[in-house]
Amino acid sequence: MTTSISQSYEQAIANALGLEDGNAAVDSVKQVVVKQLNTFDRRAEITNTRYFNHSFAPDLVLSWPRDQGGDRYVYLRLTDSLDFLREGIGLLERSDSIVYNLVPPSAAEIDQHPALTRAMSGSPTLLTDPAAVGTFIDRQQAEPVLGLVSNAISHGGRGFIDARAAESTATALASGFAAARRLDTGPTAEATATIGTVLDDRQSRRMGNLLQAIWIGSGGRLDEYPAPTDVTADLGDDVLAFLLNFDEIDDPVFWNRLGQRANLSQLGRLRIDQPSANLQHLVRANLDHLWARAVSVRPTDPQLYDDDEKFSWVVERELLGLQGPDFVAYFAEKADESRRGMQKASGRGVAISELKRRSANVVLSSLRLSDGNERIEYSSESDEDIAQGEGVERVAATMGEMTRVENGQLVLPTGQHLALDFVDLTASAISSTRVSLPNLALSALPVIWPFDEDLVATLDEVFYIPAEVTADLLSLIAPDDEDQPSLPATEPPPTVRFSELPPERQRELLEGLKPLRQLPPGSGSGDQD
Amino acid sequence: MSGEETQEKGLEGAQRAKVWLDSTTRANVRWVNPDEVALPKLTFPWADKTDRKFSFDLAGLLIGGDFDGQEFFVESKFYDKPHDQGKLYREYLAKCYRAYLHRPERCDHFMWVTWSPFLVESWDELCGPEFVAKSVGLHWAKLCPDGEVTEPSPDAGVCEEVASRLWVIVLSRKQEGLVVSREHRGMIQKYDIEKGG
Repeated sequence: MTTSISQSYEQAIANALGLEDGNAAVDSVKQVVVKQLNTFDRRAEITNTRYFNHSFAPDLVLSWPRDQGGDRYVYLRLTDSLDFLREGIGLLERSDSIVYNLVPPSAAEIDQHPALTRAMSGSPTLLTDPAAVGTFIDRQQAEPVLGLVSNAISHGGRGFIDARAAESTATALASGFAAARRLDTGPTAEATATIGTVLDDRQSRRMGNLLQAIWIGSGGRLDEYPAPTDVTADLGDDVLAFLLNFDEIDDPVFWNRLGQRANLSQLGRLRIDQPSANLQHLVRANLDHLWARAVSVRPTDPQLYDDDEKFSWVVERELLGLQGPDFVAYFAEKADESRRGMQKASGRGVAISELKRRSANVVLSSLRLSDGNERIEYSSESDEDIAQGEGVERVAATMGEMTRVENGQLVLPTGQHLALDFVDLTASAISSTRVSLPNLALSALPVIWPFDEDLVATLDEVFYIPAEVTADLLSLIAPDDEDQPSLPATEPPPTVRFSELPPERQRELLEGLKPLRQLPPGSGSGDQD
Repeated sequence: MSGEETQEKGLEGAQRAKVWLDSTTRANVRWVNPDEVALPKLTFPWADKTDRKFSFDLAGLLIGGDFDGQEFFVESKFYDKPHDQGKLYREYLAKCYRAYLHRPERCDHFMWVTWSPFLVESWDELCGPEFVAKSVGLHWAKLCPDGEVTEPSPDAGVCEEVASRLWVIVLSRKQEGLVVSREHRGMIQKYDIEKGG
């Protein structure tokens, strides 16, 4: 006969309580409970107090310093009397505590004691026990999304959750999350009802928003969502931060669906543990719609990295940043925000020969040169590239060997223009045009910062749109077009390099997809602020 | 009182004594009779060969000051009159004597918590070694280890030790509420937790 994880904890607690020496029993049982709660909610930090079974002081304190989530008291109880258990809950220092009953009554005893169930109905206190917590632990082995539920319950679970209730709660929520992805209203509605019953308002809102975001991300309409909707915060900052800080979820389509309304401003606001594997997944899976208006580069000490990970996404200075081998590039939605909290860079500009090397693959329509005393602007009349021609070289030679390019204008494949500042290492969109993150990064970064050929290739890979996401996006563009040749079912979806897509295709992805996929009927789809 | 009433009063008294002791912020009652997992921590064998045992109502640790970390046992009597407390108190002293002999390291304090004074004529003697010795003598048969009852001869040194560990606490219902306020108790406990207590 196999023993589940929950049964092993129950047995360990029973063994600990059975120790003859009272102090040894207390130490031992608290160790087991701490271990179980750590498994239940890996985000929680647990402080063991000197108290045990005290009427007022908690045995343990849960806190979530990484989530800015406050703390919660845990009271261990071992009374056989359900009356005393109920009365004791009324004495607790804080009513939003967890009462962890080490010797839970049988189902029959609970059924014969409706006063306890009545008292716990609607109570902010969570009354639970090792078997119930073990049930969630067991279930989340097979259904990782229940890890989110466990965290929400330890933060704000309420009422009476024994093993039976834990089983039905886990089933309802696991079914609900799966149902939301296939837009099945019945189980989704049941899950939202369960969330409202077992969680306090804050956690209920968090989990509700997550469920709703999955629904929307799966192509569902907000007006068909089978519960009251929150149109203002599909995926609130805390829910998104919570997901990013959670165990790695290596599922590009999941992140793409969840991230449909994510933007750089929101990412910059998040307080997340770094390095964050999920942040890498989220950004990469949403390159089809993340946009910015400016990027600023600041040098850093050389980073230690594996060959495969020369770049990583970070959140710093309340901005989304791309950490490179010896720099961080900060992206912002507003042109003047990419330099937030930074001193002005003290570069002198770039020599024309170096600029020619850096800009071989882009169009620079205008350059401003300076020899330290005089400045000359050299521009094309018709957005043609002038950096690779001989004219600008002759001008620079005339001005002398100290001549540097201080500013320039870059024409993107989409026709948009970027202002380049080689002194302040910044590229920003001219006018209020939004620029896709891949376009901005791939075009501007190798020009304003010295990349070698290998590094350019590696940067390009950072902006691959994952094959699964591409397939998902393509299916949404032409889901029912019978004229389109479809790939055999067994063939893997194509991996598409964003920069290799023709400009019209990029525009289609960047401008056409978002409103098509996520907005309810009647919503606008403006791409300008 | 009927047996059932006595039992019910006993349970209520133990709970009330626990809550009051915990509310002083200087005690943590950990084990409560008759919780199944608590009973082994509250129970001692008599010395005779009959396998008879006795148990205290509560046990726990004192907190802070000179008492910090010391263990205590409690017998509670939620009585509104003296009833038979005199007889029960003498038996309790014999239990304390036996417990001390059996596990001296656990017996830092013995507390009699009652809601009604008793033996008022002997009030100043209740925690003295002579009263302990006399009480032990009354229950000597259960303290004779070889099964053969001898003339009572309590160990004077042990009686001194037990007497020095005795507390008699008389509570009233109103007094149960005259404790540190919930707000201040919360601050004390928060301070304790933050400093790692």
